[in-house]
Amino acid sequence: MLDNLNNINSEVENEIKSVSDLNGLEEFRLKYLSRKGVVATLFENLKDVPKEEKGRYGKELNELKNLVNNLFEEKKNSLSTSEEKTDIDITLEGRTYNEGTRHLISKALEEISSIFVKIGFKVYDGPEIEDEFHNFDALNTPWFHPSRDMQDTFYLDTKGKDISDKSKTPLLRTHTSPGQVRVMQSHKPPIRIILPGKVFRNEAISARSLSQFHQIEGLYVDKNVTFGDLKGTLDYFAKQFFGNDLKTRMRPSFFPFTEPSAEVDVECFICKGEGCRICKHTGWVEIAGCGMVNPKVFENVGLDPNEYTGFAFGMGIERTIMVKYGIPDIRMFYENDVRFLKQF
Amino acid sequence: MKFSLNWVKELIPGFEYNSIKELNEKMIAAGLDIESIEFEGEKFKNFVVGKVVEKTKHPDADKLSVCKVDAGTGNLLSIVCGAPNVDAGQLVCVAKVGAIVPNGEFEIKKAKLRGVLSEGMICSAKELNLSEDHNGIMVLDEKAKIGQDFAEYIGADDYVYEIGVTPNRGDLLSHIGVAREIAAAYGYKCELPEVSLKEEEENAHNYVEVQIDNSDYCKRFRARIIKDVEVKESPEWLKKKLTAIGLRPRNNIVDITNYVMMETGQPMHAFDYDKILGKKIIVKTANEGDKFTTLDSKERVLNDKSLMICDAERYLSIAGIMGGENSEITETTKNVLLETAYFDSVAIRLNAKKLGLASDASHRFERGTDVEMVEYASDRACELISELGGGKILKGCVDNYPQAFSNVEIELKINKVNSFLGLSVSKEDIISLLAKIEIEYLRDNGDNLVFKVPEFRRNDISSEIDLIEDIARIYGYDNIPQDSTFRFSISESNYNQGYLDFQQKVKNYFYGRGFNEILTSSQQEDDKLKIFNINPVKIANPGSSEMNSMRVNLYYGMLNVIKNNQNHLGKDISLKMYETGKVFFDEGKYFREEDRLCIGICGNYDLTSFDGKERDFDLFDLKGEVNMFLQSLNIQMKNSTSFTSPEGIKIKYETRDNYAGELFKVESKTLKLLNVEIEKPVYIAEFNLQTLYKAVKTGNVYEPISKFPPVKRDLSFVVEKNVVFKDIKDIISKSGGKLLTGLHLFDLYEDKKLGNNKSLAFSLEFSSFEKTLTDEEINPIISKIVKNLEKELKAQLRA
Repeated sequence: MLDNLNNINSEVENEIKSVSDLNGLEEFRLKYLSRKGVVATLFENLKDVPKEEKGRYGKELNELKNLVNNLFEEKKNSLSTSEEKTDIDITLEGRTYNEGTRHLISKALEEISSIFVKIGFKVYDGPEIEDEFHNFDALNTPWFHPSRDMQDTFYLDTKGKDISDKSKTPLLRTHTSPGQVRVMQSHKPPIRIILPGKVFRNEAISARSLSQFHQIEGLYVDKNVTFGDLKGTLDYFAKQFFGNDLKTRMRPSFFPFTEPSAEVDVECFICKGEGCRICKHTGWVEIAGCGMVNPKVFENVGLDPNEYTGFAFGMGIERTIMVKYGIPDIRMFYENDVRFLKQF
Repeated sequence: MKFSLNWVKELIPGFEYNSIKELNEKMIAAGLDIESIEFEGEKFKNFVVGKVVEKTKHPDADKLSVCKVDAGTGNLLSIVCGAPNVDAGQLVCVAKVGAIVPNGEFEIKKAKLRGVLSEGMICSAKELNLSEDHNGIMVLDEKAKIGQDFAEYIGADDYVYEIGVTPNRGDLLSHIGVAREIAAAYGYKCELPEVSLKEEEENAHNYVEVQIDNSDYCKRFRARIIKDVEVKESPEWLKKKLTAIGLRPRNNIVDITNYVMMETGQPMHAFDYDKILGKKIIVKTANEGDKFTTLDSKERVLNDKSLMICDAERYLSIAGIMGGENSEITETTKNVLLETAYFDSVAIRLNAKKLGLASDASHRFERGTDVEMVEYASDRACELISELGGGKILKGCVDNYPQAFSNVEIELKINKVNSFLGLSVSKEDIISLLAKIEIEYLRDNGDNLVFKVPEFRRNDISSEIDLIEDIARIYGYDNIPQDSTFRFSISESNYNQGYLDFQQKVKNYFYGRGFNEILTSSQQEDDKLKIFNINPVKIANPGSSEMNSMRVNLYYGMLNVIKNNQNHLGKDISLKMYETGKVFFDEGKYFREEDRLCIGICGNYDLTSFDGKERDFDLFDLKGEVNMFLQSLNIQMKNSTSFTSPEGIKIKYETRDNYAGELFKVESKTLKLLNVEIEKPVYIAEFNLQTLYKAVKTGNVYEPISKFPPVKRDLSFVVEKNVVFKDIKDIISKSGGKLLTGLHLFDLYEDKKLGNNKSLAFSLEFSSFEKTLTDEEINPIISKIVKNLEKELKAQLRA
């Protein structure tokens, strides 16, 4: 009896090898695994096996059954996969739609905002049509001051409007800072805001400048805010946005609305400070202006400079992005050539 | 402001530094914003000292000679030279191959000159831009060593810096100002050259009287008289100093005034004394509308705020801005009146602005000069004039200084310094830090320290915070410890966070849907905006006529982007774009801003596939996008209805409260009026973002889902062409009742056989919460739908 089982074993193994399609496999299944098939018949014969051999025979029979089952499944799998392969040219391109993109500037504004949101800043959006008070006077930039020349302003045609109060003269904001004034006028500290937006300056259009561009700026006003906090905040930002291994430095500078004021440089992210074309061989790239809020600004917006201190910082997005991505001409941002848009 | 490092070094006795790199770093840390650095020797790169070892005549040219020159390169160079004075044994300046000749800026290359190889050039002084002398090559003296860099030989070792000077630091617009900062950074002291005047017996007061009529504008006027000067070319050293920083030498007198201004920061003006009528100088404002010719020969129209220097009868100079033609120094000038003055910075600034006239002098006066420098600068210039122009300085000066300035004293709290900067410096630290920049500690006043501000910083330092800034600067911004604890003190205000988040969601939604975000100019041409029938906000001082108004919608800007892309990439390119941004309206009494979203499609349908059929985008592509967008962001529209506007048929979207926006095909008529040529149809939807935000449904509650599968049925009808889909849909929905849970049109078909009719095929879905529906339950509903459609729209069920 056992010999018989061994014969069947090798028979099965030979037979499965010759199966080459699903029809052959079905024949195989009917012969061995159906209700009247070889395996079932053998199990039926089990009752005729002598008692002392029953145990061993039964065990061998079970092994045979497993073998047949396994061989059948294996074959089935191999047949079905090979069949799909022959039907489809999977090298064909998948179906696609237009590739959507965020505009580089808008993406950067969002990215930078979210870096500051993580450390407790909130986003604020102010109007683009501003007035002399919010854009200049409150920010310690009186009309006769030479720092007004730093920003050439677009004024609006006020035909039909009553603008007897000079401080209400409407203009297109030249920076995002008037938003700071609005928040400080209407909210009590602590104030921790980030202000992204479009600004306008009456400048000649060239590869380096346009009459509109984007800025993002931040303001933190509270008790006991120090210059050290400002340094820590901007260092955190630079590492998040430009790279963790890059150093920042501050250079003394001047803005009417902050004092002390500084320009912030980050080590050139292209050459890592070695000096290259991008950083004009200085190893540094200018990214922001900043400083401690000038006490005069606090007075102008009705906050007590003896109670509060604060810092503010701001950066031009286009210039920074141009350096970061090596974009040669600022006008490309506004031409919106899809070949440009889809690169980022 | 351009300065020469050699010049600055002259003002810091004993100054030494390790390297230019270190010096630059210290200057940057002190706040000197270096814009560029030019090394003087740079222009003499590849110019070396050579010796003419042998000179022979050129075989084919009479006027040329062939020289063998030892330039320290190891082998003798063959150089063809045309100069008559070249000779063997001379030490000369050799431009090697690769050198760029300063005069003419051409590069020296290896070349054959009439058949003879020439490997360089022997230079004349003119070719090197060292003088006008072009009579022959420049022969060097025996100091020259063969192979030495020519720059080293002539001492061209200067660095010329261009620095950006912020409006508060007028004191940096001079070499002494820069020297003060560098000296402070290195711990040196700087000094102006000592002046010892040799005055004549004759008294200046007998020659001129100075009368100040407007002492608000002119706070000090000092005149000195120098007689018998010889106006001539300045000596080389002076010309070199001026040209190095970009000034053009004129004559010795004018050059000296410029030189002393660049040294001290004090502008000054030299008048031809003999042109001054009535021995009198009067400082007063002009009469509105008077005309005056400045020394650039241009006639200027004055105003009643223009401060003028006058004699007894006429205007001589626009104070602090530019002198007049009528009294300028010429070759025939014999006697000079030298003005040094202090003018009010605002007065000069406003006048310069009004006149549209700026000069090195006005640049300095506008930022505030040093009233004490008036004396020194005057004496220093006089001394130089007598030295270089042989003049005789009359005794004394006529110095009208009506109200002497009082000292600027400022009180400072030590703990304020520390709490503001996050430092812990002592009183002694503060005193010594400020002493470095000549801010003098005077005394204690209770808890406060009292400091005296030097006169040259009067315009910058007026309060405690200004002193704190200088302490931070001299301490070094980089040395102030950084605090990264980010102490959280949460503000209760949330500003408009929800709306701003919504805007980001919108932007990210369309990006995810395969749209390209664009950003266009907010400034447009008002002439083009007329067709929109909206009053735009106009710019009073536009940069150009194409940008004289603020945009009233986003889609006009988008049309131009579409046009430009089609011009570059062809009309079939698939374009899907969106923009968010502000638009502006002039509402008569006030201006109004509105946040908008614009989405647009144009060109080929954007599915790229090996088995797809090409077609153009159509209105329903965009309508579908809009519907999916509204659904996805849960924006509840009350209505979308079509209407006819002057620009064509549009779909209008309304929320419960407001008009939200519209969707339309841009008519070719509109494109023509806007002068935008686009071949393929453009579909646009533009929305008010605030309105969309207000219509966002919040507080979603779970709606139960049926456990039983829905049953689907397809129905196809024929109706007349003029019957609209919406009417059919409404009837089916109404007739279908509660059990009809899904309905969509899957085929719309018209052909000749159908004549004036069309066929619509709908897929209907029925389901119930109680059980799986059977034919017995569905058939009566179907019959009702068919009957109602037949009755109301004469629709015929197709077999």
